[in-house]
Amino acid sequence: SSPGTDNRWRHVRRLLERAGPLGGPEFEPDPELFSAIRSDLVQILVVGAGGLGCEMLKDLALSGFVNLHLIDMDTIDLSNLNRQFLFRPKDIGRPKAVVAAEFVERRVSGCRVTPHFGKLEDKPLEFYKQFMCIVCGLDSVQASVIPLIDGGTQGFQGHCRVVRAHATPCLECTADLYSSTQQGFPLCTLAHTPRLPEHCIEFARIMQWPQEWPFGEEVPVDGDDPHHVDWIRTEACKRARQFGIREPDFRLTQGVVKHIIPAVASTNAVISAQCVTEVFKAITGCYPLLNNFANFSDIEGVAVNVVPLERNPQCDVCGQPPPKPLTFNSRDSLQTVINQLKSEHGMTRPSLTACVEGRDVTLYMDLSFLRDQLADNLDKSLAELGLLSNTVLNVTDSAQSGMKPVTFVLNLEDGMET
Amino acid sequence: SAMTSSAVEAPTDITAQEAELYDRQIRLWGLDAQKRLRASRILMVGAPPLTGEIAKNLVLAGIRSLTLMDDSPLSADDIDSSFIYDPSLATAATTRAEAALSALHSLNPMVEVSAKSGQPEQLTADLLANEDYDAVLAISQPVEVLQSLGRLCRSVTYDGEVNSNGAGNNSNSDSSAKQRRQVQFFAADCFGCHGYVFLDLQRHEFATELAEVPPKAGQDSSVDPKTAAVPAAGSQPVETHLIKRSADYADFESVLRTRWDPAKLGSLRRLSPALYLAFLLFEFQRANNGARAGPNDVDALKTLWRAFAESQQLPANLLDEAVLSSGLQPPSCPVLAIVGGVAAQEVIKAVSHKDDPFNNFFVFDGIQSCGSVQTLG
Repeated sequence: SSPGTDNRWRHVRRLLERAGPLGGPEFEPDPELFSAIRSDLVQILVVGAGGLGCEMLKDLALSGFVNLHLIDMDTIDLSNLNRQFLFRPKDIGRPKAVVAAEFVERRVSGCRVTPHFGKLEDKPLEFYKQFMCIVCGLDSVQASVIPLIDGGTQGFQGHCRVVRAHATPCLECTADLYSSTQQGFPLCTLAHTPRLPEHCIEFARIMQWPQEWPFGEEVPVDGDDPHHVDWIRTEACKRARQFGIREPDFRLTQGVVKHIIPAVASTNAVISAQCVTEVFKAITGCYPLLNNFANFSDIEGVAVNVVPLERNPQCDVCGQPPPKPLTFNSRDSLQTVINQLKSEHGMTRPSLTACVEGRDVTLYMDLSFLRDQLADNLDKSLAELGLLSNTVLNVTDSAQSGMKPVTFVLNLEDGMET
Repeated sequence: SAMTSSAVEAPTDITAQEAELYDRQIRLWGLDAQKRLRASRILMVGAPPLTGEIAKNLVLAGIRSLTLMDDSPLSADDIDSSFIYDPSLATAATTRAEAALSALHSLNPMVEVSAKSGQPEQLTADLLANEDYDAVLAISQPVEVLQSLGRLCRSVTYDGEVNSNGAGNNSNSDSSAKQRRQVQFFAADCFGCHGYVFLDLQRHEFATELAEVPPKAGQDSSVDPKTAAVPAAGSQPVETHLIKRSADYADFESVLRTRWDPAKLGSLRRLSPALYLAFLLFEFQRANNGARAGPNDVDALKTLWRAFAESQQLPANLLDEAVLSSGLQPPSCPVLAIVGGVAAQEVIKAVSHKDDPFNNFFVFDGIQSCGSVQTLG
């Protein structure tokens, strides 16, 4: 066991056991909170064990989290070692998730990392429900009630964002923010008016290869085979000379053929750390989450800024039909609202959040972890809770797995409007 | 000048294995920059957990050598806060610098990593020149050490083939190619949930990529260098060409003497309070013999801040007690990773003379989760 174990997490505990002016609006310091975040109830999934995943795993383990799962479908390659620091040359060929898990478990005593070598899509929905938070370096996970922290890097640039259903834009809402990593050039440019070495490369790959089948009928391009890449480069150079374009070298050719994204350790370190900070805040509630998209770039100097992106009301994924009205009196208690949700709206264990004065407030959560903390709210009147007419309530039902949250709008017969 | 092709060239081409290992980053900054990186020798004074993050990023990037200087004994706290220290050395009588060597070596065996014993006061211009350092990083050092190291770096110039110990021509083929070259100075620290990174690159010359804007029909194809910029990564590629630029940096002394103008209160309020806190902590060290402020020093710091604000005619509420106390705990792992990532990348830019390092004082504000750069001094 690690030296200084009794005291080792005291810095993390300090954040959770003391009140302060910087705490979140509902944060109640509690000596039990630290052991709670290390209990079996708190499971965190890290998606991807590459440049971001290694850094995130390190940050999560050193922040005191002990139940970590890691999913990645790749094996380790030499070109990963310039930044994926949990791997060594001897690990080349082994699954990333497995090696990363081994490293962290060995290094941080008490931390359990369960590796999953495979694809996200192959896991059933039930798999994801066990997690209190998901943090990822990919952008292919659907929005859910679970807070999702998403990070991405390309070379010197990166982002960290917080996604919560109905509060922030989902990944689909802002899909156009992510520039395509597939360099989709128009075919007419490739065929008639190339200007760049990349155009010549793509012309050779997309058009000439299937006409000439240089390595055999129907043998597809293999970006890892240097002979294939060389053939494409030779053809691309001929075309480049024809059009007066700079001739591509082997590295550029392979980069285009394999859609390689440049990457370096430092950007991954920064973005992963921002993501893990958000995970810590999401799980413990000790501080409000990032609102809601942070950009990072160190091409020229260093720039970090945060923008509050807005939901796209027409979004296919997270858009919803208009909210149903709930009619009460402002003196009615929250318990009354919950009873009605049960009796008339088919809910069994409803959990409610509301947007009050521009901030998301948790009114009640029917999860064992949080039920007691919010029990006091049940007897409070809607007026005491600061709820006015036209307040939007987001309701989920802990007993109905896979249910999308339902939006209601509050209609108070005697109350003031928002 | 440092930009002539005969200067600071790596003696040999990179190997096929290096080309593959460094492939993803060579695509970012180019082969020339990787070669310069590969020839760079760096000295880090101070090896707290922040050094672990910076060193990891530099070693992975493939510098020539990294020398750590920190004789303070390895503590359990150190081991618990960072992957860089060897936990099996917990009960051995070892220094922080020595305890970091095996992990750094295994991250990239091609980088020479070593520990140097001694105190920063013992460093001299001759030593820096003889051991051929390109950069000195002062990590979590007290302000007086920053001042003296900053001065020291500026007093060293490598000049042609003469060693300051009078050895005449160097037989080492690396050094004989070096011409006027300066020792670049960096300082970084984390305090609570915040951190800073400072750069003094003296007169820095570097290459940067300028996009060639494809000419529209009927228009002049010349490009105004002030407004053309490299497009965001991932968007459609454009042709670029390298241009040479230079920038002048202020020394640490003049930065320390920064006075904020009370007439520009609007812009002062927009600055992160973490910036004022960084300077307040320097003041505290000066008044307390280099001691680091901790959670028990809140009252002393409040008093010091009031005096500081008054002397500059600034409103005291630029820095409130909540922010002040947020800067006194030992830093959390994510803050170390963010500040370490930024610091390492600036070192990489500086020693490779590629791309724009910032000028000159970066502050990460962990409350707002934002970083900003000010040009001070």
